[in-house]
Amino acid sequence: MSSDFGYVNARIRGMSARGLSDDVLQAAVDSADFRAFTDVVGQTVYGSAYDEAKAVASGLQAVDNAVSRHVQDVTGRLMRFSDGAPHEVVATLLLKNDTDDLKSLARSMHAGGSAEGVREALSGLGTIRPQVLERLAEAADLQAAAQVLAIAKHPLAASFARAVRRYASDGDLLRVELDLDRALYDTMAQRAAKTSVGPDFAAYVALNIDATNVLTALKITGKGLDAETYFLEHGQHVSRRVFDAIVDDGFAALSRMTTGPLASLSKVESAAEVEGAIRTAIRLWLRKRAQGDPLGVGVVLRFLQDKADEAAKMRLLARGKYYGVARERLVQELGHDA
Amino acid sequence: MAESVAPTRSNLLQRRDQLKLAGRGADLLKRKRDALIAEFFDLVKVSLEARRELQRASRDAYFALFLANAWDGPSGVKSLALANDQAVGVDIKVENLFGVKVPEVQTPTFDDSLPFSPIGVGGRTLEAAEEFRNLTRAIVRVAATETRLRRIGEEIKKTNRRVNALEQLVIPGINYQIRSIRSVLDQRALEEVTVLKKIKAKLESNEKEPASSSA
Repeated sequence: MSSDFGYVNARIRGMSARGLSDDVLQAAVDSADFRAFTDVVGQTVYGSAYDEAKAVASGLQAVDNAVSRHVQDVTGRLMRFSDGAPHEVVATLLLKNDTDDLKSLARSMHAGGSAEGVREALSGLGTIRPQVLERLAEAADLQAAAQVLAIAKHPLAASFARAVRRYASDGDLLRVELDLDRALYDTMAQRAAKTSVGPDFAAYVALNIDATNVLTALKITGKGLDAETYFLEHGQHVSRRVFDAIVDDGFAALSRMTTGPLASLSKVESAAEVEGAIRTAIRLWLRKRAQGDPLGVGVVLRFLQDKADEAAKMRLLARGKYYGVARERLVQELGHDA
Repeated sequence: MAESVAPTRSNLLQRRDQLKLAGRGADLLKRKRDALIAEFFDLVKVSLEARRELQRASRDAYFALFLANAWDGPSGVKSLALANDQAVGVDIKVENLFGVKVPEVQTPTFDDSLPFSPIGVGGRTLEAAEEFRNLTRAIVRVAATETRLRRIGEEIKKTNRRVNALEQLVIPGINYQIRSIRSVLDQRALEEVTVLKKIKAKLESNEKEPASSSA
């Protein structure tokens, strides 16, 4: 445990208190239409971001922009008021969003998209600063983008440059993405092992890798792909053997996962429920860690996970109200994740 | 209005042949029309089912996209869409159905390979992509059945017009011509008989006159 988290966790508790309560979520679910929903949103912590977003967009786009802006603000604040180990933890977790942005950049450039198209595909929810993202979007090609990233001293710059060099010779976009994914999880695992925040962070990273491996195995089931290419090292409970079993037998193989934090997957009744079940399992695991050690890393991890879930629920409810989806259906969808 | 034809015996024979041909043609066209109508009604059932399937696929696809945008985020969905620039190829063969050229469109197949890394990709987006592939198949199926239906419908109308033209215009026209030729020929025959009778009467009176003058 690191005492660095005392101040950060206190600030996070303050931010959590201002987050969406169950009552607000219930009011959003019960709102009669999209207008009533936006009235509810206006009263929440998303209100100021929504007011700003309304100036440049309307309808769902405004809500999406507001959600994105709010998450960006929260992670930005977290990065600013933390230093030392907590800062390292947040920066490490946000590398996932950076990887997603780099993959979007690669996809867009591979497809010959315009700078505008690239900008639209970038979430900006990671550690890459907006000015750097702008330069990446305007880069002439992937090699120029790799140089921009190297100048910004990004932790994934070297891996991205290697992947881009290979891409220049074979034009294989899939390879670039796989190289980036491996680099991300290797970096996360190495950083988690090195930090002084105790074993919980390393265990959380390993749990995320396990969850990613389970979902990846289900996605490639029956496609005749080489399992080794897609398996990520550094997991704790999903071994290569389990991964291969899921690739071979699909959803049915999950019944063999009877131990570890993802053991609840053995009781899942359909493939559609797996993602929600994994989110729930991770949330439960985080809740135990956060409650067990109020001065530990668990509070930060739980806050970031809750914020991501809250953003997804906001987008779901906004769409539900915009398209007039039945309340029961929305509750059912939210329930998948409960 | 029937064209005027020379009232000759050869024309009469020719018109009678034409009448037989037109009758046979009308009969054949009627049978073709009946077969096309049967095919049309069979296809209507298939087409209605394809429409229902399209509605179902459309509802499922847009709901899956709705969920993907919610759970995986709009930027995640857009990003994956950039990776997949796969064009959809549709094989079309031309089938000859009772002389009507109708397209036979094959349901498109999609490349099952992953153009992007599945690691960390939102499962809802992949589900939405699969639902949209089903929607594309449903659209192609509807397009195929409705194009066939339209072609067959047009051919039924065309065949009906031909049958009507034969039954109400061509055959009555030929009948009229046959009647008028026959009437002229009958009149001519009557005139000929009359003339011959008159000649015969004249010859007989000429034969009687010298006999009475010599007595």
